[in-house]
Amino acid sequence: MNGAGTREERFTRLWSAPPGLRGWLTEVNNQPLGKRFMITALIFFLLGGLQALFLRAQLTVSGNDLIGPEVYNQLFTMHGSTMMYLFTVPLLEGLALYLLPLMLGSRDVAFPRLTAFSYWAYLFGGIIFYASFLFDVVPDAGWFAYTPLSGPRFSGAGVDLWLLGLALVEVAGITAGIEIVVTILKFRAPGMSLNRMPIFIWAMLVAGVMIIFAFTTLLTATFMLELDRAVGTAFFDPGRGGNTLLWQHLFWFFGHPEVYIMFIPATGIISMVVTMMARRALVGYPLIVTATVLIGFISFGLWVHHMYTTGLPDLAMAFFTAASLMIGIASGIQVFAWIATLWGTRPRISPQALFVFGFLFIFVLGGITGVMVAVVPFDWQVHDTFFIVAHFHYVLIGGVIFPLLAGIHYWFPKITGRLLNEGLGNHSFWWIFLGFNATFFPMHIMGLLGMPRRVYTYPQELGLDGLNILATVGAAVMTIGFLLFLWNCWKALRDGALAGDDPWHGDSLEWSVSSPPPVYSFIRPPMVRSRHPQWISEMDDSRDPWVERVRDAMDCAPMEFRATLVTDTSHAKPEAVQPLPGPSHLPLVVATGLLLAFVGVLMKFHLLSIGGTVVTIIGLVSWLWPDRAWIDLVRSSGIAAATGLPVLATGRGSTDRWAMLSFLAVLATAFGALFYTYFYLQLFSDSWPPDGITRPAIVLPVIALVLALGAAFMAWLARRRSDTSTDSPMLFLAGALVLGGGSGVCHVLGWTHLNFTAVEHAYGSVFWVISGVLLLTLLLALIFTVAVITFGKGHWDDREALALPMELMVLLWGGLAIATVSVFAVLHVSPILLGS
Amino acid sequence: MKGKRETLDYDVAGTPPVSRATSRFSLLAGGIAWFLHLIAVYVIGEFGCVAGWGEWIVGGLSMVAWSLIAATVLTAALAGAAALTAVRSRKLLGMALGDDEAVQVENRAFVARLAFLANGVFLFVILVQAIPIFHFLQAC
Amino acid sequence: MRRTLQISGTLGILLFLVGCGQHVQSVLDPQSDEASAIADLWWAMAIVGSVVFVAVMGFFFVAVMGKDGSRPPGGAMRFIWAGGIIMPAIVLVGILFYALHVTLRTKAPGHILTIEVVGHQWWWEVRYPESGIVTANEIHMPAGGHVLFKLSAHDVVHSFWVPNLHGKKDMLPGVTTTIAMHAREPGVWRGQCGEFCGNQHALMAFDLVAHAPADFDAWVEARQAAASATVQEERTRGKELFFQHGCQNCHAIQGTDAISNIGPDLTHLANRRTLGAAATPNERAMLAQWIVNPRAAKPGNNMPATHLPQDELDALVDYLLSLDQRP
Repeated sequence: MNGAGTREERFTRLWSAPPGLRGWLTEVNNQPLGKRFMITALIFFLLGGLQALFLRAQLTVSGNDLIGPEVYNQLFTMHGSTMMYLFTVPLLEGLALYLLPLMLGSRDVAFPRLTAFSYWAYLFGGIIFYASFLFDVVPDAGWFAYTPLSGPRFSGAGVDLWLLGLALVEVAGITAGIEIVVTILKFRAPGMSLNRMPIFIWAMLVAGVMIIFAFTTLLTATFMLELDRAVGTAFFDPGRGGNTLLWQHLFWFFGHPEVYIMFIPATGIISMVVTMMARRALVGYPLIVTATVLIGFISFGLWVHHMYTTGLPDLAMAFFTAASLMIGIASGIQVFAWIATLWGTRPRISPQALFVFGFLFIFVLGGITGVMVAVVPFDWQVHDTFFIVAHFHYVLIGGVIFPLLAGIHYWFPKITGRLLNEGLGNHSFWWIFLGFNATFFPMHIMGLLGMPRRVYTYPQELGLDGLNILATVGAAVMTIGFLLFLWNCWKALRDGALAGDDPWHGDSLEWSVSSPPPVYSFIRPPMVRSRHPQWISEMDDSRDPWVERVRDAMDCAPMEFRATLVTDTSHAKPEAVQPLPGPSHLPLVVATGLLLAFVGVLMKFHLLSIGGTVVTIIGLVSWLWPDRAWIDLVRSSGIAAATGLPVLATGRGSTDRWAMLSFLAVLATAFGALFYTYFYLQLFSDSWPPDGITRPAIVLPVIALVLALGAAFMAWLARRRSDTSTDSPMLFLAGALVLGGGSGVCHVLGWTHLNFTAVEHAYGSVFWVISGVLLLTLLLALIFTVAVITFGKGHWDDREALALPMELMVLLWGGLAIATVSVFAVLHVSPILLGS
Repeated sequence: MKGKRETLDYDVAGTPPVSRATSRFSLLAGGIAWFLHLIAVYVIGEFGCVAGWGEWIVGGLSMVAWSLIAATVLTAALAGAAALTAVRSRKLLGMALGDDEAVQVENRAFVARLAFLANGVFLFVILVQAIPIFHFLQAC
Repeated sequence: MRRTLQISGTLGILLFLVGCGQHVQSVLDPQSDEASAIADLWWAMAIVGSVVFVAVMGFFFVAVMGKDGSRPPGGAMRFIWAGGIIMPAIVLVGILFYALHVTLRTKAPGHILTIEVVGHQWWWEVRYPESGIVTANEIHMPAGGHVLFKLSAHDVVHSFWVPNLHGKKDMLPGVTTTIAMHAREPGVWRGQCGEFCGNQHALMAFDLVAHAPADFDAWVEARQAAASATVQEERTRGKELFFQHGCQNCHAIQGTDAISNIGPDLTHLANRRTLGAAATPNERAMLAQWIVNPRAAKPGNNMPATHLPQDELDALVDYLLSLDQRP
């Protein structure tokens, strides 16, 4: 299939998409997709920045009428949403997807087709967001969309566009998060044990895990709000037992980690650039890793500090003050470690060094105001004032955009092969830095002088005109800086100086390949013998002969299909060879199906929704359907014999197992958010189930539970049979189908006895949604079992091919069993124990 | 430079002095303890207060305060145990660790160090988060 | 670098000047014990924060400008432990204790009066349950003692905020939140909605007037007199027009048949300082314009325009301005 040419040429062809538009649409490789992510994100950044300039222009003087309240509200909503959802996180994900294989020493990320899907979902989500301008229904409820303002009574179709666009972006984020985590855990070069991972990799690992939990919570919340709007459920309607604060809890349980999802990768970038500036190893590596992990954990314990003014108990709020303050220690560790690393190294002044300085200056200030706003009484005053606007722009521009700019100056030569002009880079830094401080420093004072956030105008008597004029001038200065930066990139792409492989004498693996890197990243898997493989390169062979054999066998091989090495999660010992899929149209099909389904919901054109859903499901099923021809190709290649490693790995060596575990984590998080909703609504309800609703009968749910457990047991027996003998496990698989199907029937029969729907009371809403999600999970497990039967029929003796599908099926049934038990406990047991 | 022993990268003779399970426990238990503590104090602080445990006085303290103290002691003990495990692992691995060692041992030693630091900080955070309890002993 | 220093220096001076001024809506001009405690907290944190900032940046400059090969004081690891862990731990735990102390200081021991405030898009309904007074967009209270505000919302989330007296408290639909505030001395301050509540969040403000206790009692007494009693004979045409043009569909005037709660209560409208939730001053010309074109002064507001000939408008304005009961 790969005609003539040198070995390298044939290998490059294997890893490249076919030429032309078809290739562009079916691309799955991490490098082109990573670049696409970053460029798309930068376009959204320009749009968001433009909106900010309009906002600033409107606020220049008191009583200004450049744009009225309507447009102002739309623009600040779009500015916040664009910067948070469409720019920062996707840019970081794109950077990570591009860099991870290069820094880890693998050839691609863990799930190439998922990369493509993630990109398309992100792009379509962004398009839905911005389509609102075409139809003049721009969302105007803020990036935080507090209910009931964002509910059906008080806002129009703009919020639907916002919610559905956001849902696609969240799906893109979750898939990219899973991808990042599994890539880091399984695709590290031999020898890159946890203690040898670059800090950027640690940061992305923590951020990836956070994305999975945080984004899933938001996805669940947006789903609930869209149900309130489209179907009429009552989650957030206080008139029908719903609760407006519930949205705030769920939103900030996502919203606060979100800040650190952006900030942690940024600190990772800073650590890389500081190492380069200091030309020596980072001081306090274990401390920095500790700090990163600590922030990852604690950021989930801060959400209430966005809700100090909502009248929560003082005691509950005080815990969150304490937790918020602890972030200061984690940040302190990092700042002092960077300073200690730089101490006495006399770093050369370069744009990336200047951006590191700008980062420290601005971020430390933002951190200090962060400590202030974590303090409950002070926050009562400055909450939702310009003080907060100042604080989080210090943290997000200083703490995220400055590091990103440092990172772009640092990695631009690697990605493009061209050097950015340093003089121009330095200039752009000073314009951005001075403009930034002139814009945002006065906002602290404005807030203390009583200027609330999200106002399109303010009275002259507050005496805020001078500060606002200064801020607007600063915004103009900053804009010039960003334009200089873009001009610099443009010029470098056209006729920048050639960079060479390693212009900075960097320490990590990406500097060992050419600039721009080959599409397969590494032709021979590298061996890592230290934390700085590029600095200590004389030791780059393993002392284990078998590892060298593996590396030799993988040298420019296999040629029949794309593949990379899988290593142990902790000490990166080679475990397996992972075949990777080539170009595919399925990611685009699935994303398009989702887009059509959402557009159908928006236009209330149900046929389109159904059509889109069908396309999505067909696309997903054919994507995941095990392919015997592919398995035979992989088995026949001889790479397994040459490396002595399995190509159809199961257990810890299989990325698919990690994908299934991640999916179950997503599912568990969604159920967690729904259970939280259930108990939160119960807490603020006089009686539970509410008056007029009889408690659902328990008999059918008990039968459904027992049958589901039985089905899971059957699946487990089927796997055991197939693992230990060549006999057909058909009996057990059929048993799983029958019992599982029976469980589903019992669920549905139980529903027919309910005397409430999802709309008259929030109890019904949450009951029906939890039951519905459970039934969908059950259907998924049934479909999976059918797939395994179809795949295995007639080949039950081929245990090798069957092992992985069986393992995944058992995991899924296990997840379903746990879900069924917990749903039963919440919906049917808890009202007996706690109900009144 | 000391004389190099002939060690291989991966294939260590004998079992490592610290098992994978111990290593995992010491790495994750502190964070999990912190998370449990957070959930407990949040549920008790918000749900307990709304449900009226604040008025239920036992031995001079409200039920809210008692359950918060219990949650703090239990989770702090878990984080402390993880920290001690990490200390012990470091000692064991320190004995096994030369300056040119197999990846596995070097990695476990790093994990032990990381675990020690993280658990120490988590323990500290749990204790700091308990300070408010004593400020609001009676109230919610 | 010089430019940065100059700019930060100028801003520092500005901040200092600002702190000394008199402001009707400012955190830095506290007029109550609670607001003072919070302002003190701010200044303390600002000073500590500045010291931390200067120290960290100082270390940074010494680190990168210092001699080649020099080392951090005490060695690199000890430097990180001292600066990155121990120092922040001490400072932050100190701040935590101070914060808890201030939280307890902002708890009022009791109150002498209760006022209910309901947030509407985009105005404030104000009720005095003890005296039965209903008014809008202007809160009168006695200076000295603590007043308990019971807050709720009619439609979306709003937030009640008078920075000179206390921090803000959200007004949530379906829930009642409370905040106890007091003013040390009589005075007038401006309150503002603190949570984004839709189109006209910006122009949703109110005046809070604290009277000397005797003056407040007189105010209450005057408010309790029914508005209609004050209407003189020549104003009856305006009153007829009020009902003829459907104003009573949204507004209430005590002592008349107008009892609707959709818009602000207009009893004693003439005594109010502002129109449209502090959107414009309450003057004759503004009032006339407000009736004819309410969205001129407050775009997007929910009151429909009423078109009527000049003589009817004059009569209606005459009537509204006669809704007047001075203490």
